[in-house]
Amino acid sequence: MMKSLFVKTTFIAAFGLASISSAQEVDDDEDFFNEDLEESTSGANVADPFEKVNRGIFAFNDFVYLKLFKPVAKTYSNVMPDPAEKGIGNFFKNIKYPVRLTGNVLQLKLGQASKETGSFLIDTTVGLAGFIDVSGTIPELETTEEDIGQALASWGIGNGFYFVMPFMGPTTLRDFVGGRADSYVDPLSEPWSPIEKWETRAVGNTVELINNSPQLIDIYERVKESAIDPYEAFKDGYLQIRTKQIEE
Amino acid sequence: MNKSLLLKTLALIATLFCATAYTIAEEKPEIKFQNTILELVDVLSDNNPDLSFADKQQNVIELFKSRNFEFDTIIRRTLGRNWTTLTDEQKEQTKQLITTMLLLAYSREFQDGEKPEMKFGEATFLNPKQTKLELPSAVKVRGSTVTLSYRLVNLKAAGWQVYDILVEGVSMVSNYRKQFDDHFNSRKSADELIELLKGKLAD
Repeated sequence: MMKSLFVKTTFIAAFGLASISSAQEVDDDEDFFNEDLEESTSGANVADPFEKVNRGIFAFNDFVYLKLFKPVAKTYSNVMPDPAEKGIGNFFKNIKYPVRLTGNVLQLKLGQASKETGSFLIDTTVGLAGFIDVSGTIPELETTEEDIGQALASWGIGNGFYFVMPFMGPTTLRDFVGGRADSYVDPLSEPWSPIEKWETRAVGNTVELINNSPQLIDIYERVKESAIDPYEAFKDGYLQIRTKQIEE
Repeated sequence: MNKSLLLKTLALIATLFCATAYTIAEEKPEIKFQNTILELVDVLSDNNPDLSFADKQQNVIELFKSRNFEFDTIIRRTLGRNWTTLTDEQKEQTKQLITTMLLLAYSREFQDGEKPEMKFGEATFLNPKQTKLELPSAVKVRGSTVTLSYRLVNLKAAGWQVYDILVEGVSMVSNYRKQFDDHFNSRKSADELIELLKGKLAD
């Protein structure tokens, strides 16, 4: 009886060890190196029929970002305390709630839409007009950022073709149309903005742009520095991000 | 007496089991890689003014080597099928140049001496055969948080190695492979690629 127990115990211990230490290897290293990349990490294959023009606009944007925006962004970042910069970023994110809500509703993501509404209400009230991201500390209100471009994709509309917009950067025909539609529900954009005076809207858009610039310029420079062909790197990066956003 | 002996034997087995299991758990690839990354951050954020970037790079390479990790896997993966068209000398040069370029880009985060806060999540296997896994992490630096996911593969020849890094969901390998494919598809040679890389590093 005792011998049997001893054998069983030894067997269980040995079996336990074996199962912990069993690590599987790939069948063939060469196959692994030559295989296609996982679907989850491949950006969509989108036509780029105006590549020459796009590369020209990309070079123009590069000049604008690094020679015009960067000095402003750097000065702003040095002058503005980090918490204030973050607060302003939170404020603009909060007032763009209608864009995210519309993106969710058009995809029938009603659970996410109600989370967005809850976040907006909490941040606008408890978060002092959105300057403090209170909802960000509540895991139950975590959402993915939706827009009308993603809604169009969920309806089966393809990317169309890729192009680069002056100042704004990479997009596809579908995302461009989605972006135009977003502006109809964006409180800072024409034509249905609740802010009547164009000067106020212009100030709002400028402050938002300058506030976001330090981080965006930083990311832009980092990607550009480590790229072999910056144009291709940004194109693939943009398409990978959009593919991921649409899948989520 | 017999009962006492059995209990002692069981206790010994249990102790041995726990000790061995603990050692194995310590050597889990994701834990080992996680610790290596934390050490890498320490090396890159070292504020010693006598250390040049080249010194830090050498220290990182040695750190990786001492932990049985290498940059070869991720670099080969970025080149995909183009790798086989390179001569041994070109392969070696390409590996060195891309490693330097990646470390330069990575170390920009540490230039102002601020050490980033790193948090690692739970690793998950990516395939049923459990030969690939993903280790998620979040890096907080200068008030912003960036998500980084490391993908590891268990190779026959080299054991567990990192084969991709996803920055905010963007695969570095996929991004580089597109650029390399574009280079070779436009009938440019491996030597031209090496010159291009050298030019980028000289900038």
